[in-house]
Amino acid sequence: MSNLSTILESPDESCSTYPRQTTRKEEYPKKDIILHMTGGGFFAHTIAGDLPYLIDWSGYTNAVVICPEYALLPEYTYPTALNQIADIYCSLVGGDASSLLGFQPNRIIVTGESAGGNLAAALCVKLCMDDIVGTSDIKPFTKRKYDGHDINIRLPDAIMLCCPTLNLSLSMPHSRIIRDSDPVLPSGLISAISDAYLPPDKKISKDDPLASPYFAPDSVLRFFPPTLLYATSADPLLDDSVHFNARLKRLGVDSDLRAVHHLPHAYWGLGTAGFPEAQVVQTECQNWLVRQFNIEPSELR
Amino acid sequence: MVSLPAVKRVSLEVSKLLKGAAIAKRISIAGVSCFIISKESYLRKFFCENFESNNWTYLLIEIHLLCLKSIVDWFKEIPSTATT
Repeated sequence: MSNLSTILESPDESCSTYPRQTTRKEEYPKKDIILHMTGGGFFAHTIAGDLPYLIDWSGYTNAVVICPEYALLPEYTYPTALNQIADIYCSLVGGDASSLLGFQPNRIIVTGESAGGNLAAALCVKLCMDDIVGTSDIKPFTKRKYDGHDINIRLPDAIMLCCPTLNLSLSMPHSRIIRDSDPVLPSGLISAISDAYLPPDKKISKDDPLASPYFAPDSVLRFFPPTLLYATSADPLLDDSVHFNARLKRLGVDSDLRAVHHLPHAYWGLGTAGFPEAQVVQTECQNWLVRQFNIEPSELR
Repeated sequence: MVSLPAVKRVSLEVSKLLKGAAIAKRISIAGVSCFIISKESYLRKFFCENFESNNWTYLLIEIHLLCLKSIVDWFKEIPSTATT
């Protein structure tokens, strides 16, 4: 257990009705969850830049944001981080984490930026490919065995990604060639991250759908939840997002791609720094989250 | 640098103060440390009651130790850098 801090040292009168010492997870209140994976090229967590807008998202949607500190390179290569994310997700959905968090999950939206977007998309692929969710039918809940336990697992209710690293293969689509001087993600860095995350000596294919969700088969992608992809015209990964969105739409998934100009790769946090384009995107993100959570306008703060 | 525990922790505390998050904590889910962020007021009661509260002393000690470690690591790096 990590050391915890609190800004509230004194009892809060408004909290006195909270059911303390609840033992059955069904008794906990239901809360919407945003499971957010930070970017950082699998080498770092950009939590410092993400926190301001994550707090805004929480405030706007009334959801709880959970942001895992997944295992990083160079110590931990694929698939450690993905397995950790899947464990956290299954713990949330299965209710194991309810007594720890003080609530049970209602709707869950998975978000991620850059490498975090890879993990978010790969989580959906993994849930389908491992048959943790029942892909033979589209029931929202399916009883399955996971880690020796019977748990109810479902796919996330939606995913929202910004400049996701969907394709770790070293192919060179048009955008990687003409936008190789992105200040955040130059093309040399893409191959360095790819080789570190998928070390050649481990002989894991860079086309593996769990490492590169871009290559997930149609039989998996057709189960994807409503998806929103953000990109930028300057992003070397733009083409991957465009093609991924096109495939999802062709398969009947409620997917959308929105691209902006004048911003570098992974720009969600730039709204806080005053970039007007990123601020517009943040407003769009909040409105989209509200729609996906089915929040009534009267419930908005 | 951005992944240093002290940087994350300072970001958390500053964000809480500036943005007014009711709770912003790190707890372990399925063995993985996670930031939990919410503006929901009743949840903070739960966290206050179920987790030992902490103070800024821990933060200062953590930063101090990390600074020392960074300096030591920096000195260790010098010979290898010089030979390459």
